[in-house]
Amino acid sequence: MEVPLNSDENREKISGEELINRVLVERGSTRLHEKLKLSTVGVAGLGGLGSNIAMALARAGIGKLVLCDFDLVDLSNLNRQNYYIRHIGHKKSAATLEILKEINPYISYEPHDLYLNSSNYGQVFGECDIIVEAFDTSECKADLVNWVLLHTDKRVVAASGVAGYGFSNTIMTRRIRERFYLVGDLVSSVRDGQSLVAPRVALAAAHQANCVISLIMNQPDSTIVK
Amino acid sequence: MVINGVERQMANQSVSELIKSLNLSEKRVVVEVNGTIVDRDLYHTFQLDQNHVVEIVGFVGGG
Repeated sequence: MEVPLNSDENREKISGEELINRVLVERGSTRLHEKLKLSTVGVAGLGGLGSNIAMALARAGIGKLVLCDFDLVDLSNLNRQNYYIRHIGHKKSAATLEILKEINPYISYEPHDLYLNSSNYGQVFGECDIIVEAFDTSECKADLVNWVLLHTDKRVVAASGVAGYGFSNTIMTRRIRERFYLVGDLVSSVRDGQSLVAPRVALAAAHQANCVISLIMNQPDSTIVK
Repeated sequence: MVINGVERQMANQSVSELIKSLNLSEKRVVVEVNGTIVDRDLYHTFQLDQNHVVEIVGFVGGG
């Protein structure tokens, strides 16, 4: 994909990929950029959490993103998920890919249109260093986290308790145990009649993406609560 | 028995029974006993006693 990035005619002629990488280094640091570029991260579920997590990780310049969801974009998703009217009826995996390619076409993307379960986690996320749990149901959340902890040596960043609005400061990142991080207030669920509202879901998504980056950078985050 | 960092007087019981007594659901939790994750298939047979240190994380829906 050709990106018209060289708008300044006096600028030297370099490829879009080189230019994006250069800008990412300038805006961050070489060490950050190089480590993120070498990482492969899986996003399980591309709803309110996952679509926003994928966008944050693509913007940050993660090297490879494995993106998985079985669902189609519905009008009712647009209140919080990172899609547009034009995506209604499209596969979430394909719509996410389209959006992310407009942000950074030089990342390696691996979209899967698939219902994830324990029979295919390994096949989909085999090469991921970190898996981000971004499912909707509590059963699916628990299933994936159990699988990661029992059957792999990967790290998992999950979410629980993201419904409602307000109470921004109760959205926290907790280190539950080795290789298991959990974002949210742990209690606010859709079952309590609370709906999912864009800002609070996006807050949790940003926590998850931010946690991924601090894990990649091997930087113990002193603000993470036990 | 220590459950999520708090010493509690609980009868010796299986992981399954403990989950139930805490009003949680087996399908919505991750359970660690003495630092090791317990396989869900073993919840029924894994017997807990007073010396066990248990961590249970329950998930709620929404995402």
